[in-house]
Amino acid sequence: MSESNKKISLISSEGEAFEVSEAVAREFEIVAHMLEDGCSGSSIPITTVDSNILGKVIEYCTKHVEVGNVEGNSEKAEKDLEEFDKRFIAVEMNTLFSLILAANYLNVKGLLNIGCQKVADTIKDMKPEEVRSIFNIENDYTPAEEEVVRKENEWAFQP
Amino acid sequence: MEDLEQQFSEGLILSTSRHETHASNSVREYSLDPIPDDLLVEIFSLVPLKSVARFSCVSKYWASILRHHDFTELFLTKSLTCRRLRSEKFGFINIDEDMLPNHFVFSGPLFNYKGKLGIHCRG
Repeated sequence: MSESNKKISLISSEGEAFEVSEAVAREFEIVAHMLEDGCSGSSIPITTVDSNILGKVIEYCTKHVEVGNVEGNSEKAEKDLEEFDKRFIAVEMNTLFSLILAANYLNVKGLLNIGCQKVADTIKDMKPEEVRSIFNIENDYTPAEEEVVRKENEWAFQP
Repeated sequence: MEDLEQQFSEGLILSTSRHETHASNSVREYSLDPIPDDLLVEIFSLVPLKSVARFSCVSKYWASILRHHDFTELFLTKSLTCRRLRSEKFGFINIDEDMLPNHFVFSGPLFNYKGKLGIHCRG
């Protein structure tokens, strides 16, 4: 069997196996490094990522490998990929955070970049109260301290 | 302040175990894992300066990250390489990279930064 046809099973935290081509598995840099370090097993446990998120990350990597394999990659293919990325990352916030954490752990740089960009775009116009709610952050300023820091940054609250 | 910087430095290095020390500030309701500080820094570097200023009002811990030189350097470098500075509040609108002096002082409510940005932005 040629290397490009070799299949690898990625095992989610629930123990579910996802069979992917080696090319797709190598999009996870953490897996690529394992393979380069001589890990010859065809089954790799991804213990910190659940099936739902692992499935999504595999979908992302599969699409990017497919487009990368098209010969004479056209502008249209690149545009399609951009559209795919946009649709792919249009998910609710909790899924987005999980995707970012998985992309960070698995070292899938493209996914990490579009995920961080999506979070940034989502929160950039929010008030501190809204950001606290999304990240579940406790406000540890005393009322007096908060008044001071808000005053210092007053210009940023003006439309 | 030194304490916060110390905590932040440790957080960057030991981001996987940080939730033990910063659980109340960082853990989200959606997941058991907090967003590590280095990812927060990455996200903060992608928003406009105005958002950064507002985010420093979110919590003391976020303010300490946003004041930290690791973040301010990344933010300013990205600002100069990826987009023009567009804040109306800082008086240098539409400055072209080539027009930047090699040395300048950037100071404001968030930053007290002296640097050679010309070197950073030209890689």
